[in-house]
Amino acid sequence: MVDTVTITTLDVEETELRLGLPGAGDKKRGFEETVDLKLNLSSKDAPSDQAHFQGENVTDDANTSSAKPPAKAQVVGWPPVRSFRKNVIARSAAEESAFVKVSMDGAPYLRKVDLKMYKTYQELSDAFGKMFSSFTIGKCDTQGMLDFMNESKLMDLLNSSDYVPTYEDKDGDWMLVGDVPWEMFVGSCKRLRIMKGTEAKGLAPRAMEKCKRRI
Amino acid sequence: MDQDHKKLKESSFPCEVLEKVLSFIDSHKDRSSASLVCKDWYDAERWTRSNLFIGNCYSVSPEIVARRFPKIKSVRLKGKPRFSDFNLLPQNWGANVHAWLVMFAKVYPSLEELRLKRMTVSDESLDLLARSFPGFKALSLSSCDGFTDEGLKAIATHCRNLTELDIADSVTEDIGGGWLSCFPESFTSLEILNCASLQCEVSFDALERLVSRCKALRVLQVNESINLEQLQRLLVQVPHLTRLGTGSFMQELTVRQYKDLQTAFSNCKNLQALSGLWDATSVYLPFVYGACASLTFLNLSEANLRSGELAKLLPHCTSLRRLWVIDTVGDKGLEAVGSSCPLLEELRVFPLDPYDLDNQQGVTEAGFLAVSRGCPNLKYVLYFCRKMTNDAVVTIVQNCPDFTHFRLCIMNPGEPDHLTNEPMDEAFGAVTKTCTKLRRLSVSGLLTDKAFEYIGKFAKNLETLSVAFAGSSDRGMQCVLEGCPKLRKLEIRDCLFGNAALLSGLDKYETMRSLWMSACNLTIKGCKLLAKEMPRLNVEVIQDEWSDETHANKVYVYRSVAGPRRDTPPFVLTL
Repeated sequence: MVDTVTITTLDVEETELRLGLPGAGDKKRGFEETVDLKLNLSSKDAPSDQAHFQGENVTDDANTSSAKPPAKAQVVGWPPVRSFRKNVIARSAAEESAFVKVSMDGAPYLRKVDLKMYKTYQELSDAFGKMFSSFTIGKCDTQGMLDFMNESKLMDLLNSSDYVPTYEDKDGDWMLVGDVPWEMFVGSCKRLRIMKGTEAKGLAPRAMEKCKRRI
Repeated sequence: MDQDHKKLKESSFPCEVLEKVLSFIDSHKDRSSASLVCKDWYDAERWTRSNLFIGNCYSVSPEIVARRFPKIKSVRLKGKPRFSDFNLLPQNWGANVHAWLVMFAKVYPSLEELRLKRMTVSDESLDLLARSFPGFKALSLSSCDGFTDEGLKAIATHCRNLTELDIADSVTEDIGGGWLSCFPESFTSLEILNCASLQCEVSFDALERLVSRCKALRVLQVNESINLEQLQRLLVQVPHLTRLGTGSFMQELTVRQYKDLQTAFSNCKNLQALSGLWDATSVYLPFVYGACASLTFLNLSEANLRSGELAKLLPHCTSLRRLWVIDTVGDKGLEAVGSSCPLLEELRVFPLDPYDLDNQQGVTEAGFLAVSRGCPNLKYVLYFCRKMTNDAVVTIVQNCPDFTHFRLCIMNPGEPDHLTNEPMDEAFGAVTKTCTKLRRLSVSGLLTDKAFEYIGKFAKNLETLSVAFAGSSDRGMQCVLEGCPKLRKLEIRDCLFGNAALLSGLDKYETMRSLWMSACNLTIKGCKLLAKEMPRLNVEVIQDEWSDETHANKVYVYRSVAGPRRDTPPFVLTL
């Protein structure tokens, strides 16, 4: 049942009702904020990246707010930068961090990680270990890439009760983590899901096919 | 005495020999000197000059040039004053090349090269160019405007022997990409193609076919519309490129495509310059590493790299001499420059967001210091920052005393030393005192007359000076005009210099190419006085919304043998 209210003139905002389940959206948002805060705190050792993230917010705010004092309305032609360079500013609004949601089967809540904080699969795996402490990730080789050619090794992994990280790529397919070079993974990963090896079995053939097609 | 005189005449070179000797001289400055020796030398020189350089198109007229030089094969012509780059000059101010082309078509039918800077070039002019010179080879349009793809189509269609087409940073908003398809199938001579500033899509098919049949192509700079997959297809055709400008890096690649690009770049063994790189990030930048060993020039001014990404890239560029970056790399990125690029001679750091004056990001004196410590051969710097200190600059020039070009732009006007709150006078005192070879200087920050005293006292080789939001009295400008014997170009904006300062340079301006003063304290009366005293100077006042009957807001003064301009628009007043 949905309540509808005719908007009256007095105290409109206070009486305004919204459609949707009571409180659900708010609760979730509240938690995620906490999670993000925790992650941000732990990333204090990368000040320049942090500054960039904040800088982005400043730029966004500047674009949307109308409160810019006239002093900032620039002097013509100052600083002396050629006008074609202005294009660079517009483009800088693109993603500079790569936050993705991480879910682990059996855990009661999701986490969020910024993939750009890590340089290798091993680092990411270590981070997962800290985040979800009762959890072991499948073994990766020195390159951090799963050995797809060795089917038996892969089958062992998927038969064990170890957890295996999987991700959804830009095409919407669920893939096993570790099949492409790290930088490519960061660019194409939309969300992560850590699932039991046995559950990931269903993915493996599809993932292997897709990988074979790519190579 | 008479006998000696006779001997001299008899033993003077026959003109054929003199002409042969003079034909070896390329520098136009040397040729000018040679032409002043005597009438014979003047004649020999004019008959043998084939390269024409005109630094200010209004300093001389096409007729005068045509009369003096009968055999010109290549022309370099510059038009508007430099501050037009920053929108300080209204539209339709002038510097239209058409009258010159009409003269060239009549007098120099075997013209081969035309290089224009800051000139207005219409489609009609390009059409005239394309049809008038059968041997035409090289066209370079730097910071020009006024043409569309119609003009470029004419060039592509009619210039059968074209080796170079370079539209550099010309204004190209109205230009489409259709002209690329107009090169005939039989056309194979292109060696240099730069259309990086085009804002539109180009026909990749036409480009690919053009590249595949021009076997001598050594410079290829494409625009942003070319993606990575297309870039790879072009690169496999021309691995011998010496200069490459990529397109956009914003594309999803498969593993196969990534590996193909890596291979393509590794096969480019002769690459000396790399630019473009729009939206290049750590995701795909690594595939260019294979081509970096031979690079002497890396232009990252379109890639918002961060310090880490730059730090990973630079160690591959072991021969780097020139580097352009955006200030997103931060001081940390510049530390990487200092530690990875010992051979560096030129550094340019552009601001990501120059118009947000409250923005505290970018680079500071720390970055500049780091570079100076690691790169003692630094000669050219262009540095945009929000904070600087006198002490840092003093140390920087001690580390790098060989600067010839020092362009420091502290972006907030009138910003003092951020640690001591003092003016930045001592910084530029150190620059001028220590860098004896300094030819070009741009000053910024809070500056009193002291800074200009230093410049006048020490900058004896200075040729170009740019000043903004500086000085405490007329004396500042006077010190410069009286003290810098080699000064050629002086551009000043938003300073309090007035008529007294202007008139103190009465004897100086004829030895200079030009003077620009805008938003200073000049009056029409003062300018009229200058014009009256110096008839061989053109004194022009540009009227705009800040001008009135007395205040002269934009003043452009230059020497000319052609008299006042005949093509002034209504808002330009010649005094």
